[in-house]
Amino acid sequence: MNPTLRDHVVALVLHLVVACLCAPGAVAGQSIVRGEVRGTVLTEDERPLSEALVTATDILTETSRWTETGRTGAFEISALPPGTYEVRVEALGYEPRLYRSVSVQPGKAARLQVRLTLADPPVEEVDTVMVGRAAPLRFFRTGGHRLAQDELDAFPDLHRSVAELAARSSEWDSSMGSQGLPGRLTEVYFDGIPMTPARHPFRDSGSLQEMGVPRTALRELHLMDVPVDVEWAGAAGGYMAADTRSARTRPAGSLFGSGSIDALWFSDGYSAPTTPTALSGWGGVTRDVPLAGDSSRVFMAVEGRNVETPRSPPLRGSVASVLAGDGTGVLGDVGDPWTEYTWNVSGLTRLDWNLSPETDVLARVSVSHVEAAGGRLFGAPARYGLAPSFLGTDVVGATSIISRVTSRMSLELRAGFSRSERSFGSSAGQEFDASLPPTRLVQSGALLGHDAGLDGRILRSALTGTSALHAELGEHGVKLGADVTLPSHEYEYAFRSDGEFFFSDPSSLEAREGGYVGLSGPVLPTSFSVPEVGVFLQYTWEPQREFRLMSGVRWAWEFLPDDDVAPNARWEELTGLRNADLPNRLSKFGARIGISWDLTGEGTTFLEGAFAADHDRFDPAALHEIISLSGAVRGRRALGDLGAWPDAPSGPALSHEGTLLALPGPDLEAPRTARGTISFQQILDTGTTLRISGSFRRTDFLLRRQDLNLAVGPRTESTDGRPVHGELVKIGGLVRPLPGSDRRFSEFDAVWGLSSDGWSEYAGVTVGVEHATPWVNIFASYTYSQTDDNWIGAGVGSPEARVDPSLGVPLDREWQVGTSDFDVPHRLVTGASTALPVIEGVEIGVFYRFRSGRPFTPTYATGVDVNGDGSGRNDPAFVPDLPEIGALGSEWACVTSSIGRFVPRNACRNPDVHTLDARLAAVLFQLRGAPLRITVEGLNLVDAESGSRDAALLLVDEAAALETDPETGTIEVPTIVNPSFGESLRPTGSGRRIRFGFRLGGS
Amino acid sequence: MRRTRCAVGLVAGAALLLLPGCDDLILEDQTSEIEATGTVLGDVFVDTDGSGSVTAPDVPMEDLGVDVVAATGGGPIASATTDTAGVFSMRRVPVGSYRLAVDSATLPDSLEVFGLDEESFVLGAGDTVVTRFRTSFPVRTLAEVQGLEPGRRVFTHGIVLNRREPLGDAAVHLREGDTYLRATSVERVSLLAGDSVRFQGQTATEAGLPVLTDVKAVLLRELAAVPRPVDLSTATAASANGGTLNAALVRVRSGEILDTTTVDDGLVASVDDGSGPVEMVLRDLLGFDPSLVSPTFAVVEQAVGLLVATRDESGDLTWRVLPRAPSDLVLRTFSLRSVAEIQLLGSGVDVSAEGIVLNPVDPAGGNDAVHIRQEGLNLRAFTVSDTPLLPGDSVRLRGTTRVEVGRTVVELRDVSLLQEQVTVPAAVDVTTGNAALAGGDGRLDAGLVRITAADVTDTLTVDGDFVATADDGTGTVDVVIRDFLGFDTSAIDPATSVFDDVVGLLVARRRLDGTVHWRLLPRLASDVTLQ
Repeated sequence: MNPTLRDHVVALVLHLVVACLCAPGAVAGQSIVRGEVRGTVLTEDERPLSEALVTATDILTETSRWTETGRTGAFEISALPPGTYEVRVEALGYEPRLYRSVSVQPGKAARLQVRLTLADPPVEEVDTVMVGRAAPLRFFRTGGHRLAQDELDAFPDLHRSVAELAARSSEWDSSMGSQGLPGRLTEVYFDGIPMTPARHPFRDSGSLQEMGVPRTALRELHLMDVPVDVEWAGAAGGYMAADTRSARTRPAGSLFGSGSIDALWFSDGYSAPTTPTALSGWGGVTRDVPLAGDSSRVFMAVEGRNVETPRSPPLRGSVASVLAGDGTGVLGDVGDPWTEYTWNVSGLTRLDWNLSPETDVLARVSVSHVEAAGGRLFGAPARYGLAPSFLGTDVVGATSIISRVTSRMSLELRAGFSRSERSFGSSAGQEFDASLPPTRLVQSGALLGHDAGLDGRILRSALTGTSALHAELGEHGVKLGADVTLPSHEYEYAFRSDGEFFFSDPSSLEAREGGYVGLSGPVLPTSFSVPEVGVFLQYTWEPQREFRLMSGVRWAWEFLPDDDVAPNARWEELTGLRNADLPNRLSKFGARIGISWDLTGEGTTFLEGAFAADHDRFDPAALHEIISLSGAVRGRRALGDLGAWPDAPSGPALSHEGTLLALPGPDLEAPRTARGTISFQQILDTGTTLRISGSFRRTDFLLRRQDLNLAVGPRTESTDGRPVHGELVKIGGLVRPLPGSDRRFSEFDAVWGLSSDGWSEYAGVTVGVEHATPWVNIFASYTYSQTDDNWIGAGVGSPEARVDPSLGVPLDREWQVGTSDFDVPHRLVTGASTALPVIEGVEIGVFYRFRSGRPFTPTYATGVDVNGDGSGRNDPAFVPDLPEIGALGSEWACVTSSIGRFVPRNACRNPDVHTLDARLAAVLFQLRGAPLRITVEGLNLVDAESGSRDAALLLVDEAAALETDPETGTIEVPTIVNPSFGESLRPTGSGRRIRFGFRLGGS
Repeated sequence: MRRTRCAVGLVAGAALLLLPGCDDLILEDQTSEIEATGTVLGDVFVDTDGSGSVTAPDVPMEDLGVDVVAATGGGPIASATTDTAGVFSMRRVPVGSYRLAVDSATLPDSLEVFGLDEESFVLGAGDTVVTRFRTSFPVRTLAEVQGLEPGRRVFTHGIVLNRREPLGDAAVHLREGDTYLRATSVERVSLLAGDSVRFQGQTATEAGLPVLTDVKAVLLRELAAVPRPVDLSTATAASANGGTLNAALVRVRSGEILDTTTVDDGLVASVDDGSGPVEMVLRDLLGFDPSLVSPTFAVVEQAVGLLVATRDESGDLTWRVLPRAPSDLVLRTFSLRSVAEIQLLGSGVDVSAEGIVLNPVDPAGGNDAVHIRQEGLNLRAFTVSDTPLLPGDSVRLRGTTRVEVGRTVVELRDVSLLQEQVTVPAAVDVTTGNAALAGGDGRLDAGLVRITAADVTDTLTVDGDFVATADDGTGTVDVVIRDFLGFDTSAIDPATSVFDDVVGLLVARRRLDGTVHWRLLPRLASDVTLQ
């Protein structure tokens, strides 16, 4: 049941009552994209000094804003872009003071208490004060991290993607996931305007990572775990807020590039005798164009990159040699190495226009295009590219206006347009993807062709708009606003649109004896809109400069395309369940509260806490699935003679065909996250900052799926106690149900019920230390966390992996709840950047990252469906008491400790991952006043390997037959232990790489 | 309501957000489940007549366990038991594609369920599926029935080979192709040979061979086919062709009745067509006249009957032929008649006659005719196949009359020796003139006569036989000394020789002018004495 209007009113009243227990003071700014500098100018005898000139200068853009103190000596410069400023305070007859390294952060006020000293004219000295540190604090308020401009380029990264920056935090990962949730639940804002890329329904790859803003155009990046401001909305996971650069006030520019050749690439995990090309490079140009002095200027940036990574042959030698002799001619090069490549070009233009001292306008346009696949420069395309091949194009336009209506009231308007398109697999036009269907050799784990769930094209266009009115009344501040998002989605996607073949081994492929799952008939594209409108109200209470409380509520309504779903009368007739029962509107209510308390009042000891609860948007991929799978698409399964391979079977194989359907579960909700964090931060006199924080998150209403057309009740059970739903058939090492035998209604294939009954809980503690001196900046951050959920298979790119393996009541419920797919208990990031004092212009940066391996569940080989539920990806292993299991020893204690029972979900873990990057930069000389800097980058110097391990603990014994107990009907699946269990299935590390580059001009 | 509290909790503070209880709320409310159900009703009857539909003799099937199982197999989803009316009912059955199955533990032996395997159904939300199926006995071919263990009740089909007789064992034999089955204790129903029937009966054994007993019969079609017997020799019939023709309808031809035995319900005749005997059971109830079935006076021209196995005293299995009706048995009856009567008959009459043999018969020696005397009258019969006889033997002849040269003779079927050497037949002394006229009026035709003191007036050799014309002064008579007698005829000279004594059989012969005269045929060389 959704909250009623009365509930919301009551909530608001309560909220305001709590908040209005107030005291005098002044409220800092409430913008999510702008900050303030405010303070008081006094004389030496503590008298307020009026008419003092206060000027804040952005050290990056060199733009300045000024104000004069009033009768009370107070001053305030608001709506400043985040960054590092110099604040100069001058008054006639007094010695000017220059405050350096004043850090301005969004929504916050940098406070200065200025005491000017009388000085006789002429005044020739400026009293300089270092307010901040040599480098800005990385620790962002209320958890998360802040990456300032200088850190964005302090350390090298391979792809220069935005996602790689997220991995600089010990609470985030390189797929932009945070707090135990995947990157697809992270919301990204550029300049306060949300940018949601088109996302693959089941994969994170190729969406967020390749988002189209040139890295060089970023100014700051904030990684937030618990945002307090209610304007940050729409994410069940983390929030990434990036600010783009604005132009300098003077003409400037930079030219940069970096590259690597084959000889500078090394990898221990690469096993092929010859090395295909391993070129990589990036480069770009920026230009600062002042149009009208300080008031109007344009920043332009263009950046491109190309990364090639050699890959070992996709198949093991023995398998490859057998398949190479296949008469079809399509398997001839399975033993060849290949190259994965990514190339991207992006550009951004930003206009900053100060219409008046009270009004700033920002307009930004960016375009990005990315391609990734295998073998672009390696002759014939590699047919067996395991890399997700895709094309992506993003076009983003945004504008914002900030206007100070009165001295106590300002208005922010932001609007944006984005068009994001992603094409995956054969939809991306790659030749090799069309030549060979997804084909799995289950015994060896080999995959021929692309992954079954890859193909598709997704287009998301959106108009967004936000307006917010800020009002301050002494220590009270109120922000009232509304936002609207008008996204349109186009999907051309269906899981297994190219079908998927399963063969036991190469000989089975040669004999064309195996299993097939695919679709019958074309999948029609869907097009729908999911508009959302929201209103928010925020109250800020700042009774004194040491304490600040911010709280807010937000109501939003998301309108689902309920009319777009064609009712399936037959299913309703049979079951009473309606596939078109999509709610036309989801009502969302969120609330946040946060405090910031400077315990000593000296700006050195902070206690901060924040709690928030709000809703994400409903997954548009699920809407597409519900709309597209309403009756027209039919699923087809076959077993036996697949002589038509690589074409879909049409011959004598045992087959079943039925309607595919997806329908919403009852009381559908968008994911809701409640989270909180408390942090303590101590800045020591020595320039060292310590921080400890704890976070908790619980997310509900995550979508899970179940196959509603699974046959009623298990047919029997296997000797390990596993319920078996279909009539099992064995072909060599492949076991799958007789097509149709696992269906409740034979006229239907899978009927996916998408229910918002998933949840995820995260708890983490982060300890960080940072030490900054004028010539060195060292930091380290360690996060220990635990993530549990019932979100089965959420980390696997297949809907079938998300189906409960139904190990039997009550075991299935117990088994479902466990370690999350996204659980990474240990994360450490540490780095150092230094500007050597002895050699001017030389900078060294080293960045080390460690994380625990991702968990996985030991299972049967992918494609083997021993529980006969139609999914070959959800069959956890029952650990037999065999010598081979004992031989796994302590290395795989996750297995040996589960002998005689089903191995717990995500019991095992891939190896830990270490990465080490280093960068050396040195200024060679000045060229027409611009420094020419050369760089040497060492990437992945420890040759980290992030590839997943072979999770197939058990294989089906090819030589033995299925045995059925005539008395009990219990079926025994002959099983052997996979001798390759735990071995690297396919290397995905990027290898060591040395890259040389240059930068002319700029920073 | 609980969710409302959660919403208020969100406002009040983050702590409230984390209230325990929200978990339960989510899991309880948010999961898609197919809760729709339907109803499955039905009734079951015992199809006692195998008609496939409810008919008068059918009865409700009580206490039968009925399960709903997935159409693709697996364990029961719902179960019920039929009541006294054979009705079962299952409510709140989850929707799905199903079929019905029967709990085999509740199904009596022999009964099988029909109409379930292929009849899957889709149970939709709120649907009520009403079904009816039947239990019945399995339908088996005759060959399959033969392979079943005793005690199984089955249905079978076939063509009736015999009319069910109300008395006796009420047995009916069936044929299906080349397979036959004997059914006993067939219920009272009018069945005729050629009817197509369905039998429901219980397998049993008789003489160690499978039979169907306690049979309920349903007439499917009258006179659907004419049952044709299998032609066998008597010996093959006795072994039912090695058992393969057990219970078959067979036909034997031309069998001699070797022996007859009277049993309680009729007569058992041993019949042999020369290949070996088979017993033929002629049951009184079928209306056979046992008097006709005599080894002496009748032979089996053709007998059609059912082969029924029996075990003899030594335990060996043998088959008997059971003719189904008198019409199945075609006999040739040889009536015992006096020679006087026979002499008055024309050709083509089966007769039997007894008398004293007048001449030795040694078929191997060339003589294949036998003459008998009865009360002074004589009868010539031939051809004797293999029975050597001596004069004086008492014999019984069976044969068919034929008129030769105006005299009635018997074409022999057989000769039975009644008693050896009862008497020495005496020859009748006659003159040669009387001999040529068989006593003047043919009275001595075929008789044994003697002439004495007769001159040989002429000799002639015809076809190897030596013919001497004798004349004692009363007229001539031809004495035919057949070559096989071994008599030295060279000693007979027409000019000089005189028969001192000649004994022989008188055999009529028609001259070229149409007149009849008798010739004298000595039986042995010793019958001729020259002076």
